[in-house]
Amino acid sequence: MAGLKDNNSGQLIILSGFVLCFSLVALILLVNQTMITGYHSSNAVLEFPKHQIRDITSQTRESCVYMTELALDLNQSSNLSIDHNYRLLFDQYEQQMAMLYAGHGEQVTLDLSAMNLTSMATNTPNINTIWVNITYSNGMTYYSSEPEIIEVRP
Amino acid sequence: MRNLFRDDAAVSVTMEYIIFSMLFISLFALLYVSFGDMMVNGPKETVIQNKFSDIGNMMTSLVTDMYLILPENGVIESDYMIPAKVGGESYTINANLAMTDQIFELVSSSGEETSVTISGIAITIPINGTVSSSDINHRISYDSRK
Amino acid sequence: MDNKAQLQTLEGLGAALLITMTVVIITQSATVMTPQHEMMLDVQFEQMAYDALTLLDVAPSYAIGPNLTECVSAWDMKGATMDNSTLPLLDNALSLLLPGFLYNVDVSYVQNGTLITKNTILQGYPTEDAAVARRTVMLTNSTVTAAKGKWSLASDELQMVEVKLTVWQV
Repeated sequence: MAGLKDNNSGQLIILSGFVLCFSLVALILLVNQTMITGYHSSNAVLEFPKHQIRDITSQTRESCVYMTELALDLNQSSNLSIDHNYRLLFDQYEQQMAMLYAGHGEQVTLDLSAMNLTSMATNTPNINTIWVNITYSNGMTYYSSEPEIIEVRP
Repeated sequence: MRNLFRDDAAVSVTMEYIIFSMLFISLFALLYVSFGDMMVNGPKETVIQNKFSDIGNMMTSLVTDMYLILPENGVIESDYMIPAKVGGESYTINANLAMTDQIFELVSSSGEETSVTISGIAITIPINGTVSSSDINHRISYDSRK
Repeated sequence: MDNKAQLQTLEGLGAALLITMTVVIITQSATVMTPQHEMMLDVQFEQMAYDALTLLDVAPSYAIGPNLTECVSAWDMKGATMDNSTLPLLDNALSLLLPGFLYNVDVSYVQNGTLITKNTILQGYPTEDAAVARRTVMLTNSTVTAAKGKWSLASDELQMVEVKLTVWQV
């Protein structure tokens, strides 16, 4: 112990030890800051089919409006009723959507439950409505909108 | 014998030995007493706090996402997965509006507690329920007709 | 009694303590941290990919040039090869919306009851943390004729097409 007091070599080694020590502490503090982002919270956002359900409902709304126009056009060129044309178009829409979503393991059923398009032929400015039942399931999440009421105008 | 008492060489070596022994003994005693707290409980508490706020955030982001796509007339149900144990303890998630205000509360079996807010969503749709981490199924459901 | 080199012993003790503490702390914090950071990036990535597709689909064509339906309508029905896209309009729009990213675009559609998938933009092979976004569009005879595409659709036929965008960064 007596020799310790007079021995002042190797001070740089001790100093570098201290520097390393403090920089490690600073690093640990930084690492702890980034731990706020979480595994489960990110995973939930990635897994939840928000975009898919939005795509289905918005596409159905958009397509229903478009199909109304098409059914009206077809009614003028052929003698089939608007309702009949509409059902044919909706069948195509429904089958293709179901197959596209089945392609990545999701079940989509669209079902035309009722429609009110008769006043459209007479060109009165009534609000015409279509009722569509939408269900979606991917095994974890089940969504059903029964019915989705869609307003269409001629 | 007389020579032995007169000989005072190496006293400082003995003193040094005693002082160092005492120092280290007290140090180890201190370590022994606080070892559990330092090495087990401290990290465990941190793990539980971190995981709880993570799971709480998961619940709130799930509720927010569901809220964004709620059908006007219909049902939405979503299963979610959470770890059965955090820091070796089971826990409950509590969203009982009668007891808590706009908050998800996670409570572990040893009493560790974390709260996560769900902002203003509970004003438009009431959120209610309690779930234990050891349950087999975890599900959030919404039905516009109820 | 030999009492030399006591400082060396103390130094050894100190070094051992430092190393142990460092190892303990690093293992404790590092294992919890790494996967989360990647997940958070994935969330932002996915959101960005969906935003790009949604914007292209819902924005009116006078605001952004051809929208997603018009881009897909104009498709010549051919598969893409590397760096030679068959949806040039969509490629243009996406390169503006996703600067600095690489992306692939596939289209899927149902024809005679079978699901067909084809590459239309191929910029490479996605890495592990690529994000995928999908959006469906509806084609009819009139949209195809207006965009001068090669789809063959009768006037009472609909074609639902799913556009799949894969985005990644190198």
